[in-house]
Amino acid sequence: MIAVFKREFKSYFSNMTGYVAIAGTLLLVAIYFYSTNLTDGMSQFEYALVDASTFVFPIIIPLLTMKTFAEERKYKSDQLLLTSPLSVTEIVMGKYLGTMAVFAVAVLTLVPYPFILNIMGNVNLATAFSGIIGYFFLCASLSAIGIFASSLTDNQIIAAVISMCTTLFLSMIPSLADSISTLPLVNYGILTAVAIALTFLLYGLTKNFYAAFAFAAISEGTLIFLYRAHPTVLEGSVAKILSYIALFRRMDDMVYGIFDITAIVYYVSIAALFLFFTVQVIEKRRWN
Amino acid sequence: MIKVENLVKRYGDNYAVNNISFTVEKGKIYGFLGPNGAGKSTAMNIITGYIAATSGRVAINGHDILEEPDLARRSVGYLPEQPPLYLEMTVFEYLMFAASIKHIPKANRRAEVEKVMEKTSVTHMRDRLINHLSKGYRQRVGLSQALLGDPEVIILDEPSVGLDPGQIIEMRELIRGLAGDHTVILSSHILSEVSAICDKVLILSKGRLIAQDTPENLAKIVADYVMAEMTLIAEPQKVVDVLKPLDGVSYAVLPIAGSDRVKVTIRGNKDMDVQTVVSCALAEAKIPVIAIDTLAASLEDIFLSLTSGKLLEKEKAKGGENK
Repeated sequence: MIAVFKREFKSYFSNMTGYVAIAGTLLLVAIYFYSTNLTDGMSQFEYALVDASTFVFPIIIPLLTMKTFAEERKYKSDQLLLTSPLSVTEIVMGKYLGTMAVFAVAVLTLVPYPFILNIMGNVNLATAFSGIIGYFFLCASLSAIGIFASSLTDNQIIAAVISMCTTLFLSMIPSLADSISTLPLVNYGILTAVAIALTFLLYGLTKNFYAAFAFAAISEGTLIFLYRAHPTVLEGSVAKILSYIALFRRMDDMVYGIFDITAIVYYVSIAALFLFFTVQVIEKRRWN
Repeated sequence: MIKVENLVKRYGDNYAVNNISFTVEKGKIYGFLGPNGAGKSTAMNIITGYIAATSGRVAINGHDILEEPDLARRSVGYLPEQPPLYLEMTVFEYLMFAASIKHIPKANRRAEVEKVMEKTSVTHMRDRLINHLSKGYRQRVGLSQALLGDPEVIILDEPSVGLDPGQIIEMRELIRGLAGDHTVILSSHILSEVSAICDKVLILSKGRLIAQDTPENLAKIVADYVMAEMTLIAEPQKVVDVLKPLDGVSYAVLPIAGSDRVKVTIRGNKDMDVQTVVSCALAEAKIPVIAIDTLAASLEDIFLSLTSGKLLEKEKAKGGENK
């Protein structure tokens, strides 16, 4: 695993990718730092960071994760890894940690900002670093999603588009959730649409008509039952579900000074979940 | 050493590998022979555990490749069809990486890498980026990777593709040098290569294993006739007149342009001495024979007759009887 980690980390710096990602982070954060902290005179670097993150992540995450597995498959170098005595979990973890190490370097470049501000006035360093730590862990779960996207295809561009769209969607969830009506009928309609989409996805993945049909029947049955018998349960349910997957919102809490250990656990769990999915995708491909 | 039982790999309704079984003995060189798309690479990918079979099993040294992948893969070195290289690394870096993922102890890694680079003569390229290497050198670096750690089994998918004639000879010598201590399985669609290196040939066609034997024994399978080529001094028509009455002899007469000679290709049943019969008849007619060449069945013939499906049907009929 250590060998895979080292190779992955080095590979980012044997071409431009690592440097571009770090420079991009620095540039985008610097723009927000300039407008929020320097022009508007706010002492909270974390505000600049949280605003910048909605731009930084959709660019940096795909850039750093798109190649992880897609490129290996394209150049068939995965044959070396997958026929070596290493387990797939070791390979995925090695690559993930290699990618995270690059992110860690990028995050380290942000550390001086609060100190620079501190020279010019009073800065609450605790909330600033709580924000930076939140940023890093958000990054940890987003890059696991990016690596998962990369394992789905041998085309880096497609992997990049998938992770970019996912990251953008996740960053838009808070405003999206606020704009959805809480009426049971609307929520019922949205959930039905999701159930139908999941049914097709299930059929596409398993090619098992009965399983897909059973899934559709059970989910739609439950929704109809809830809508008829307990419409209050459906009230605002989409917004509630969205709040569970609102990755960016957890970082907001940390920015406002709530150093919430459950947020860290949440981010690590999301990362673990998607790394697990990645292992499954790669293992399953052997059988196809 | 390696035991392959009833291996099947199906993609939809398509059988890439269809019920292949064979056993590989220690220290010998085995050759997979077959036209493109015969299932050679798929079979190798399954044996090395890169992909899983739809059914059947592969055991290396008694370890199932899927149930005990760690133990099974330790004793296998694999050079896939396309060498699995990282273009942004130098040859040395790459081989050090490969050595570490193959669990070669840190203390031995450097020496081991130096040794395989020496064997495949890439030492002078050690600090070049793989991206800057030619196809032939990339192939050799891929081979070095397969040799790392002296694995008992070495599996090479089309090892001589992309090499120039000199390198092909070097590669063959290298592979032959591996026999004895190592068991080698290689694949090729080049017949001369397989017959030159291998102790045993496995012929694949459309996913099926249609023959497995030594190159010499395989030659006997298809040799149900004898062929010879003769050069004579005569009028073509006169030759035809002589040969026509002979029973069981088929022939083709071709005048050689610009001379009084003709080239005759004759073919007779295996149990008749076609050359004697024909040359006696020609002697009686006072036609001088300048040269006779016996055309032994080559691997080419075996290959063509097997893969064109003729022998396949024969085998099938035999299989039917057995049932």
